[in-house]
Amino acid sequence: MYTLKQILKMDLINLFTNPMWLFYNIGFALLLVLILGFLSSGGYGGDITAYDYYAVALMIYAIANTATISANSFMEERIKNGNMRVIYSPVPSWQLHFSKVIASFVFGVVCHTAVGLILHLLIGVHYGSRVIAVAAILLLMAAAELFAAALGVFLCCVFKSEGVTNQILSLVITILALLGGLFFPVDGMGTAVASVSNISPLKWLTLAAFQVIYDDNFTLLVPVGIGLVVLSFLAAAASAKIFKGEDYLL
Amino acid sequence: MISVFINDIYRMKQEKARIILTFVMIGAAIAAAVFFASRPYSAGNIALAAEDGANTISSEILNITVLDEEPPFSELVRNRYDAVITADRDGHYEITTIKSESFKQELEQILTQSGEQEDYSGSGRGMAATILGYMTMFIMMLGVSMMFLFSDDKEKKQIERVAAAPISFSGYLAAHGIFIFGTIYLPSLIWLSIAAVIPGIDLGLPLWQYGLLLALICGVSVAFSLFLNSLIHGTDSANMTGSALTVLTSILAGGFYAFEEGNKILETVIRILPQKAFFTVVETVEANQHLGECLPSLLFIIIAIIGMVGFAAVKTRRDYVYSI
Repeated sequence: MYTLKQILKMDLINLFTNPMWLFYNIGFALLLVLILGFLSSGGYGGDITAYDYYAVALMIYAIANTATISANSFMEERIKNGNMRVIYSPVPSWQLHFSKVIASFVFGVVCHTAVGLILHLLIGVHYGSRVIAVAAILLLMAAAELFAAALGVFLCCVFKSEGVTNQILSLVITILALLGGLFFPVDGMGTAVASVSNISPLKWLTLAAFQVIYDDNFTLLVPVGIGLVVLSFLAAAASAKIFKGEDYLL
Repeated sequence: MISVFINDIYRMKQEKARIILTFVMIGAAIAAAVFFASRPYSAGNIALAAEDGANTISSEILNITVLDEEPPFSELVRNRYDAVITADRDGHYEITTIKSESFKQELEQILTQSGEQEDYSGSGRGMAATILGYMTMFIMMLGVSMMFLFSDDKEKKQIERVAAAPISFSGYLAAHGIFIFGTIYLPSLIWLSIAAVIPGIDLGLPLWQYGLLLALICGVSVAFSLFLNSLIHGTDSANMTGSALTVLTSILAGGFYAFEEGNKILETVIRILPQKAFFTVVETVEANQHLGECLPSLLFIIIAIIGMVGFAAVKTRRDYVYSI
């Protein structure tokens, strides 16, 4: 356990001291919500504003992008060398990628909670009227964050290259976000579009979140949350099975 | 220059996943555009929860879904419906919406003057504008990620050898640029040619015009990614910043969805985006207007391309040729 703690500590330091990733996780998310919310605010009436929609929907997009952070923290060129040493040392290799999942998860949760908090204080974005609803949203987002982190590391193990993984992730996540209607509504575009939109997991996540916030309805939240956690563990286990130290040589 | 180009071909051959991905993504973008563009335009999505025996509303410009009971409020917030109308037997309507007051009034007007409805002219974009609007973001993202050829050279110090070798430095940059241009341009053109021969799909413009327009946006994409990579060191940082910027700017420029209500400051910001100028050009070409209408936009794009490439060339030369 000592070794895991040491690797984790280093990974966290690497993540939290990288200005580019801090910008990506906090600045970019904040900018997206503020700009898109501002642009479409004209179409909204009083009580519910465009920010209320985009703060949740785009937060989910940002969380999905945690996958690229974990992929980076696992196989980025700068970090490869350090990891190479860990592989040569008498440390079980699963600790290497497991600590990346945990580190990216913590990094993502801290950054995105900060963004959510800023938005709440700045614009008064609504996250639910009851404490339990807010807590449930936080847990759901954390589960999503965990899955995204595990997925990024898993894909790195599959493709053995961080560049390819990143390219695939950033494109696929953006397509899923478009289909799921995170940037602009697609559900109302007719039944055909709506049924295609159903294949986007991001849509279900958004749906679950909005149901909790506005209807106090937890029916979708529980299966989505549990599913995400189970999938995260499957992804982590699969990474442990596929990962070989020599992948770093590529 | 030619040897750099040939070397790029060999390097790309090692990256089969990227090649497949490029094809899949551009194909998906075109398919999505064709799919979304074929939908009829409607003024709003309305959920109608009517009591038994109440008059149902029919409208040609509204997309009305009849439900047994009122949908939950979250359906309104997540824009599944723009408004919910409840109707009782006496013919009273009640409209619930989170949208603006003007939308509600418009809706009331449509409801009361049932029968003859004037044509509701929406933002009916043409097919070519939709297709190229959807492709723009993906082309920009692909350009940024294909630039790994150049940023890997920087990250792995290969570029210092190039700088010391007796070859033209501009030629080296040009070779990368032309190669990456090809890797984005050719798949796009291939997919569009396939789409053009599929019966039932009307692309809206002849293929050669598509070819020219695509060349323009691929040029912007390559110039932008060269510019970005000359500023940011490291493949991953450049890739992440690049995809963040391209997603943001392409949505802002209105590639997918034209934002209705504008704002003075943001409009100015949007106007300097090359993507916005590109959409202006596409719309002019599609509307079959005189090309002079969009000459400023066209010039702006070309100046932007030259500016970004020029900056990248000067900056990289300064970083590697003169400093060593």
